[in-house]
Amino acid sequence: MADIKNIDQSKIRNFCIIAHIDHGKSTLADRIIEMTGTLTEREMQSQVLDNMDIERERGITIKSQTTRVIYTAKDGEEYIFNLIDTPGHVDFNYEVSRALAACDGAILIVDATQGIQAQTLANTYLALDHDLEILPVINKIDLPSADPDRVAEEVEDVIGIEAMDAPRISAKTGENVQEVLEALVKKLPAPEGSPDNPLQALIFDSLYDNYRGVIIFCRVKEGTVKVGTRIRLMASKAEFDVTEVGYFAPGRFIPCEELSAGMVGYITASIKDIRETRVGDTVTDANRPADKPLPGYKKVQSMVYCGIYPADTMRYPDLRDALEKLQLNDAALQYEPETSQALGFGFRCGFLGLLHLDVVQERLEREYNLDLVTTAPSVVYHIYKTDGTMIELSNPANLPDPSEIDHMEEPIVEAEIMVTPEFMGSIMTLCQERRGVYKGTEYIEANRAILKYDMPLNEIIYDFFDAIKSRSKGYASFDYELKGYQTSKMVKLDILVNKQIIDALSFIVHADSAYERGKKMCEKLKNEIPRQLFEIPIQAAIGGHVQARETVKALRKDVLAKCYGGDISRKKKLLEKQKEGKRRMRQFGNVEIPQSAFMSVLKLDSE
Amino acid sequence: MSDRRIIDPADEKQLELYIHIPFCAKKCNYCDFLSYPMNEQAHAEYVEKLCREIELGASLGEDREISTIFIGGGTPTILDPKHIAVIMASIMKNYVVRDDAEITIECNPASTIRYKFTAYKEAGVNRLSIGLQSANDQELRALGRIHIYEDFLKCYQNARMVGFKNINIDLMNDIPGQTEKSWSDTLKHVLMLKPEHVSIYNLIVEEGTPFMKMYEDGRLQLPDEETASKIDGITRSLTAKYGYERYEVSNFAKPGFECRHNYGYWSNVPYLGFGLGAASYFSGERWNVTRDFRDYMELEFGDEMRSGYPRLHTDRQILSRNEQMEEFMFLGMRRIEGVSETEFKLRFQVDIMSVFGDQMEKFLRQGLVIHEGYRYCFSERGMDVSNVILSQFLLD
Repeated sequence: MADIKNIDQSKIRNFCIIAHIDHGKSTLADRIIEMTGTLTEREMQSQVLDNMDIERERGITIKSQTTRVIYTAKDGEEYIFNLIDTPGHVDFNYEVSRALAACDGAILIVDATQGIQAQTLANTYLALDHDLEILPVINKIDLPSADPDRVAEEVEDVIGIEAMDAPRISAKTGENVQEVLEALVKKLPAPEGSPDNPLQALIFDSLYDNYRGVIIFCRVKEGTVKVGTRIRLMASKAEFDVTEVGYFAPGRFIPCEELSAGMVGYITASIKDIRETRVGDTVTDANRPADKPLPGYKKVQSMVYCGIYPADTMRYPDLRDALEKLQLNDAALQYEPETSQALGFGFRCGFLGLLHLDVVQERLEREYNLDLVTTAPSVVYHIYKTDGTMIELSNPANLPDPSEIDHMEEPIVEAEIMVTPEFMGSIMTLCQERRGVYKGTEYIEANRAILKYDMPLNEIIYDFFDAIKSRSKGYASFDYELKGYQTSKMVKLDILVNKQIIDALSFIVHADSAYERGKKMCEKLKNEIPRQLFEIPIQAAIGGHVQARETVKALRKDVLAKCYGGDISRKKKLLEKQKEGKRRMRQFGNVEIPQSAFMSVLKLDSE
Repeated sequence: MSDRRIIDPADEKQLELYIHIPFCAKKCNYCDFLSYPMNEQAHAEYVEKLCREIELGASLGEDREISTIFIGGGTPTILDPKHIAVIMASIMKNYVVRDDAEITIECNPASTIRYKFTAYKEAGVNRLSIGLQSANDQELRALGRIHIYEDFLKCYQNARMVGFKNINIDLMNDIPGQTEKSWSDTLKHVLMLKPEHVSIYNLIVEEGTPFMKMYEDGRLQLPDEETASKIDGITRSLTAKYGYERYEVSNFAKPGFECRHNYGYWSNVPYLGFGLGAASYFSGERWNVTRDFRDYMELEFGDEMRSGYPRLHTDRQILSRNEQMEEFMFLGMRRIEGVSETEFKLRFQVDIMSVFGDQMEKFLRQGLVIHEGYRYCFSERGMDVSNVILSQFLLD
């Protein structure tokens, strides 16, 4: 591989790939890595860049991954490609935005069978916001239903960028991917900036490593950084001596001598306190600082909150450490300590959306080996009290007494749902059920339209994605943006199990749907709470008035079967299984509630 | 609660033998136990290996006296009775078998004709355990049994005519299609025949059985818990009415006819198991014979014994003190008389409550366990939900 020092700035291309989910982003990334010979085919594992287990299993990209490959172009010159893979889900827009800020250009993948989708647009606009040069690519031409001409036309019509000569490829088979590589060289700009200017490097991600401390992922915009440079983080004002700089090979870090303007790489500086490195901050040279930091990222805004508690209360410190470390990898995650009567010590955490919540929970459980209990998610309500003050409420348990409340406001989002005409009716019904206010329909072409609704965020955080998918056979896609707050008649619904309020199950809901929700919640819990040695009433109540009730009948019978020929170990295994099941339950007074009950009540409409 | 001793825990000479016959004419839908349909030649070869294993095992039983023998399966009665005679002769030759030993053979109503019973009796067998499961032919079909109720009646009459005076009948609850009515019919039919002993087990849907497949496909209609609970009520009242005493969670007997062999399992009595997959418990260790038929047939048992049975015995486990205490509880509590705190103290040198106090106090408070004299035992309610309680005696 060529020494990085011998490559001049004009031979560097920093780019990302943007696309709607499933349009082939990770597959194209894999193909580029494979075709530039960075990995031999044998080493190539499908979707090299999605390296978290959870990403590969779900087939989604959560963390931005970065890799450097070397491409020898038709002109005989070697080019360095810094490829930054970006997440595709609406929940992870913030990650996309950070990744984009490190790039000069973007490959826009559009599926030749599906054409432009909601996130194709959302991501394109984001890229344009960052002044990126956009290189459209039409993918999946190997599919029988592919219509690349129509899709190219659509790209020109809807997005307004030249697309007639866009490479038409199959990332899966590798067909025409070579054209993409050449286009990267010819159509994307080389980075600007001078290695001699004062250092300005943008932190777009970071990672905690037990041996090296914080590893900062950055894009050097101006100047040079090398081992020994005394760096200053401009927002936190902390200073450190650089111990290592390097770049990213697929799946590993390769140290090098220096990073200069235009390059993408990493810096380590024995940074132990993870709170000192903030994504979006600018790294500069303490001895020769830049005048001002680079323009920051969009400030991340948590849309959904929920309580996260260790199933085993003794593991609270472990959970705290895990969140601390996770936050470094996931700038969008916010948290602060809270206590619950039912669950003990835990954290109120803020997320970009429900998928983000799900992913964080899973990462905590897998990567940090924690067993968690999660409470019903909530949005942030504005509570105007009769004394004229306003509080921002993210935990329903903290709702003041109704007599102290003048009125409440809830967050409203502008939702855009892209749908084909056949499913328009059912999607519109769904939006109306969820208190959506119809704002209009925009036709992209004859058979595709964007429905615009103003919707309470509260109505979409639970299962709106699932509902949209199931009512459109998976064809509709959805995007939203916070619009503002609006006065609403909200009430707090409490859930009582065995006559005891389980604060972790309380949630805020619109008065009109309180009864329905309460009823469903009781039904769901009835099925989730296993029969115990006595009868357990489950009630939903508003301010002490019971709205709905179900009963878990007492366990009547539970006896082991035959002991074949004295084989005690079989018997013991059965008992162990039973005990293990019990361990995963949470004790509330006399009642045991399985962890799964807390999550399952979030998906009330799934059946 | 009776204080009558079914076995004497202080009897340090007693040793039980279990012999496994892994052959069946057809596997039942619920069975995941080891059995194969095989021919006469395979039977003969197997019995030869089995006798060799019995012979070599005798070194462990040197100072012991055999108090019970249980020949189970599979379907032991599928063998030509001459094989049973050979097995019994091998035992008699290599072990000291007590005169009053309880010697049981498991019978399938379909494969037991009169001359077989005569042969068993001559071989020394003195107790029969007949696997009827249900007196309802539809239920028998659902279970995949190869016999009908009529077959059982013939089998039972034959057994009595030959002179067997200690007969157990195995019955099953929670089987597909079982109702309160069908169960009370089954139980009445059976109890009117006055067997000395009745075992009533619940069907468990095991991994890898046809029932599991049906269960997963949603094709297995099992009685709901409500019905199951009512069925238990019927069992309680009918067995009492006909003069049977429940002496263990699943076992009922006329006084004096409790099954000593099974009772030993719950009471820390050592046992040696011979034959494919058979389980042993001896001087604080548990092990199982291999479940691999080929291995069993091909291994040279003499070599195996000399090197400590490395391949023939599997899952060898020396019980830790904690495991011994767990077993003391979850096995002992199955007996109607429960566990004795003095016996616990004698064996482990600590008070039962210092180890299991938390659980025990909760169960006592909830009325699931009763403390009477120096014993802890299940209440009626406790027995119904025994799993919940027993699982809590496992230590972390």
